[in-house]
This record gives sequence, structure tokens and C-alpha cells, in this order.
Amino acid sequence: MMKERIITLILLIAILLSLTNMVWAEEFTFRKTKWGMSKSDVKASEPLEIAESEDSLLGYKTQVLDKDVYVGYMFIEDQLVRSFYMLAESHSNKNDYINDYQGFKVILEKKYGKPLDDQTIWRNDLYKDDYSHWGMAIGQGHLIFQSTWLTATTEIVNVLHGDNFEISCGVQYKSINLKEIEEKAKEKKDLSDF
Amino acid sequence: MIFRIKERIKSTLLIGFMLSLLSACTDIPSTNDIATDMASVENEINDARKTVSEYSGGLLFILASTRLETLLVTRAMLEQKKSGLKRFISTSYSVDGRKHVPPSNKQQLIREIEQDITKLKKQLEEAEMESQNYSGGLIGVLSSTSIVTIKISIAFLEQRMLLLKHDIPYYSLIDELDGKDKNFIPTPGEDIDKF
Repeated sequence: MMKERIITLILLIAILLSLTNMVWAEEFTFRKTKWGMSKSDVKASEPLEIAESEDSLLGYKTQVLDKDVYVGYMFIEDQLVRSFYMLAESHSNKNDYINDYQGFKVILEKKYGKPLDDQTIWRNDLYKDDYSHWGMAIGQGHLIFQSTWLTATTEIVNVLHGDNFEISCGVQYKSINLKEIEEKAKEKKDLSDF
Repeated sequence: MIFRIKERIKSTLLIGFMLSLLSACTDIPSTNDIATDMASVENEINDARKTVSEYSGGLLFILASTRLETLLVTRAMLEQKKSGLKRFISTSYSVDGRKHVPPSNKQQLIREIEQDITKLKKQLEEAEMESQNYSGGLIGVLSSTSIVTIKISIAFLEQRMLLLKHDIPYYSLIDELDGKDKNFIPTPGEDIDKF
């Protein structure tokens, strides 16, 4: 009888612990932030010095995976809707951007599992057969790498693309629940532009 | 007598055959092509040096120096290849452990780059004409910047074209710049928690 009670108690504690773990894991969506947080809350959550601050953007400089990156938080109506890491390093050997992309992908896979969508898009096959020119192909907009993950609250996109010899590599986090607010704000801005 | 003539014809044919066989076996590449290309690069280096000497600092100096450095690297790579050919040493390149193989569409790539260079040279002519209208001031500086920028683009494209032409991989050219910005500081904690 006593033994059974102890076993039940241990089981209950184990279930409770795993549940709290799940809750904690879901609590923060990006670094120490949650979707919908106000700009001041995000500022309070980030130990770094602000590198850029606008109405709808907060920017920081930091390092992840030993790489220099910009951290960005984007707000609409003072609610956090998007955030991102954007690689701040530049490489003379453009193929090195592929390693950066792979580095991001590996850690995202470790945390979120296999990507829902994993694409290597060739918009122009000119350099396809020559790996040594793939970095060049990215810079010219011929080649795009993109992998996507989905969690209950967030769409995560790891992307490597370029145009006009400018390459950008980064990971973007986007709130699923606040997508509508973002779309409405975009629509409003587009209308005001005309 | 007839026997002797026959013998001679036989020997001549045999020598001819052996010579043709030998020439086929020794694939000795000519360095003339590289020398011609190097001469053209050398002219551009002189022009770039002249431009660099016109400025003591500032954006135009940096841009002009970038062009000069690009041209110097191109010359160094061609020189290396030429030296190898002269001494019958075949130069091979490995990229990330993979042996560099020239792309199958090499000629097409060269043609495309040549077209881009022609376009840029036309733009350069236009920019130089435009520049003559200004002797100084902000517009004059912008105009000069535009000229130097186009010249850099031409230097980059010519570098890519020449390396492609002589089977030198573009990839292995320049070492990674160690331009780390000290303002990028990691925050405490595991990287995985930051993603």
C-alpha cells in the first residue's frame, strides 16, 4: 500500500516536472522575449546595449555561435511581432556564407527538429555545376537557401539570399497569432503610400 | 638501291610516327596567353597606382586602393600559374578538400562576364563624360566616386574572367578578413537557448 503511494507520488512529480518544463520551454519565443511584449519590456529583457532604436524596431549587436550578428525586434502598435538574427560579418570568400547558413540550420535542427520545409532554390542555373561559384550565385540572386520550422506560436525561417552582390544570412522569428495585426499594418502603410 | 630507298622511307615514317606520338604525349601548355593577359593587367595596375597617388585619404582613396589590390591579386595568381607552366609543374587547387574542376560551362561563363565588362565599360565612358562637366564640389566628388566604383567592378569581373580562363578557382583567392567588430559581445548562456 505504502509502496503504491510512493510510486504514484513519484509519477505525479515526474508528470508535473515535465509539464512545467514544457510550459517553460514555450514561455520564451526568442531569447528572453514573448510575442506581444511591449518595447519597454523587450528593452528590459535584453542585457545588451541598444544599437538602434526606432518606433517599430529595436536593434542590438551580439555574438551567437561565435558569429557577429544583429539582433532585431520589430513592433506593431507596441507589440512584439517579429525578431531576427542577421549575420553582421562579411566574407571575401562568398562561399563562407553557406557555412554560416549551415551553422544556423544545425542549431535550429537541434532545438526544433527537422525543418518543415528545406529548400535550395536555383533561379538561374549558371553556376550550378561549379561549387566554387555558389557564393557568387547567391550574391547575384541566382541561388537561395531557405529552411522553415513551425512551433505552436512561431514561424522560424533560416534564409541565405542575395541581390546585386549583397548577401544576407539570418534567422527570422515571426508570431503566428499576431500575423493579422502585421498584415493590417502593412495594408494601412501601403494605402498611405498611394 | 631500291632496297635502300625503301629502308629510308621506312625510317622516315617511323621517326615521323614517333615524333607525332611524343608531341601528343607531352601536353606542354603555352604561357603566351597568360603573358598577354598579364600585360593587360599590368597596364591597369599602372592606371590604378596613378589614381591612388592622386588621393591622400578618404572614400576615393579607399575605393582606388581596393581596385589596385584586386588587380595585384589577379597578377599574383596569373604569375603563379605562369611560373608553374614554365617549369612544367601543373598547379592544382583544392577547395574545402575538393579538387577544383573547371565548370563545364566555362566558355559560356566567360562570354557572360565579357558581356558584363563591355556594359560596364560603356557605363564608365558615360560616367567619365559626365564627370568632365564638374570640376569639383559635391557633384564632382559623387561623379568621381561613380567612376572609381565602376572601375572596381570591372577589375573584379576581369579577375573572375581571367581566373576562369586559366582554370584558377576564384574561391581560393583571398583569405578571410579578420574584421571583427568589438561591439559584438555574446550574452551569457548556451547558444541553443538563444535560438
